[in-house]
Amino acid sequence: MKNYILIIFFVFPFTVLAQNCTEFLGIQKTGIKYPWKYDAQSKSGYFVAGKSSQLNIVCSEGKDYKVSFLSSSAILKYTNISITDESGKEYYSLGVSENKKKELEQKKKLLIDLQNQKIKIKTGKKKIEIDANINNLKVEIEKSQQDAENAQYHPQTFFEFTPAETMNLVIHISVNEEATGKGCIGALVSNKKAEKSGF
Amino acid sequence: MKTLKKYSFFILLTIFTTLLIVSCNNNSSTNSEDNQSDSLATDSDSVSEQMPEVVYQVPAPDELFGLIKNSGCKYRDDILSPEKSNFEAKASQELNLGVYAADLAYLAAFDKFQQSLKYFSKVKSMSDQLGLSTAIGSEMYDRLEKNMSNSDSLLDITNNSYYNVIQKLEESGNGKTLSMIITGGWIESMYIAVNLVDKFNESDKNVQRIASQKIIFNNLMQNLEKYNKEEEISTQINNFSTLKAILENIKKETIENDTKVNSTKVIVGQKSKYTITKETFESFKSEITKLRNQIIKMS
Repeated sequence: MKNYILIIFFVFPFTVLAQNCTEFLGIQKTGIKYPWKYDAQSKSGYFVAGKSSQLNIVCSEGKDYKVSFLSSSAILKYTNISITDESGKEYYSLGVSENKKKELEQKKKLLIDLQNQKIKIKTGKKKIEIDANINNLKVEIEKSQQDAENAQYHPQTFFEFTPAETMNLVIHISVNEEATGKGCIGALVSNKKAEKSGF
Repeated sequence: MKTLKKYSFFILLTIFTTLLIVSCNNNSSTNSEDNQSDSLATDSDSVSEQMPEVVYQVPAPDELFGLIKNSGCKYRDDILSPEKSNFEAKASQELNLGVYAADLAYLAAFDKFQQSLKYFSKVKSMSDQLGLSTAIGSEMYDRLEKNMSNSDSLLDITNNSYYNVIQKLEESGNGKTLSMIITGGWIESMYIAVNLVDKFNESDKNVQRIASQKIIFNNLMQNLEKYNKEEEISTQINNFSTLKAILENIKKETIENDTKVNSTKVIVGQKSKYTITKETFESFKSEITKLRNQIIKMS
């Protein structure tokens, strides 16, 4: 009898729980509102620390698309998501993307370089030119920093777009090594007939 | 005493199963209410199979037919797959389920209510045969019958039946069957699409749409390659060799540059045009017809 109870306590919960990452998508699906409709290319899966996946979806010309993401709270902080085309051009990233971080670092280095150049030049047209570049760069850095903060603290959890052509898009999903938890991540794809803008 | 022990086990088993199911259901409903926005975080302790490293998805057949219908193509009912009473081999059941699902999507896109009902029954019985009886419940058929004049309901019910089949196969980790169904569905969709093109014209929207299927074909092949050790799948891959060669003759050229961001929409990719000759189109049509006929004649 003791053995039976042990089986029920330890095996059953795992058997039942072992079905749920696809149900996760079902939960997300309920949020789709007309005229958007569910796209069967949606996918959810189970993620642990260090796990990464690439989801290739085909987006057709003539439709608008929306990809929304849902993550278990246990791994949310450690989840990285980006959308690129096959050449690697990035269109969306959850949080601050590595590309944007690199871009910001490069701008900061360039600013230091320009400031050093300015010190060496006393007067003249060149100095005015460098001053203007420094000011422009400062504005750009401030904007990038603001964007990075927004991305970090108020991340946009969906990407809405219109493909100019029928194309393959790659959704990159990964969970950092530092994550201690594990859970599901869902990429919900929905689409609708493309609306024409303008007259 | 032994009998009592035996019964106690089953009673306990029933109680725990019921409790677990009830608790899971409660969890789902709370989450679905919370999920009306595009929020990212949710509490879930669910555990299932890890997502593969690379996944290649193929759009459902209804995506193509929606676009074809909008372009003003006329409906033809002589291109539907004939209703065959039974398929013996599992591979032929899988491929032909895809074929019928594509036919159903085509019928629903063109608001053919009576015929949709017939093909829906076929899709349902073939899903049942493949052990997917819970994917398409009899209540879906009843709903379809009750909404025989409502186009939106027809599309909704028929699309959901396809999505449910996919979901069931994903839940059970049956990727091989899923790949076969998708393959059958894609071949039938292409067969219908090429036959709806009245007169070849390279610039025709539907000819361009068919040419762009080269991208989907690539995903389809990558998907099949994952299961290439299975005999039925490797046969399918070999069957596709001529089609692959034909599609290589279709070239893409960019006609507009750069990604544009306007005030309302983010546009991704570059506007492009496919170069496809009449000969290539005809070869594609004849190869697709050959592949499709092979499938529907399977036993």
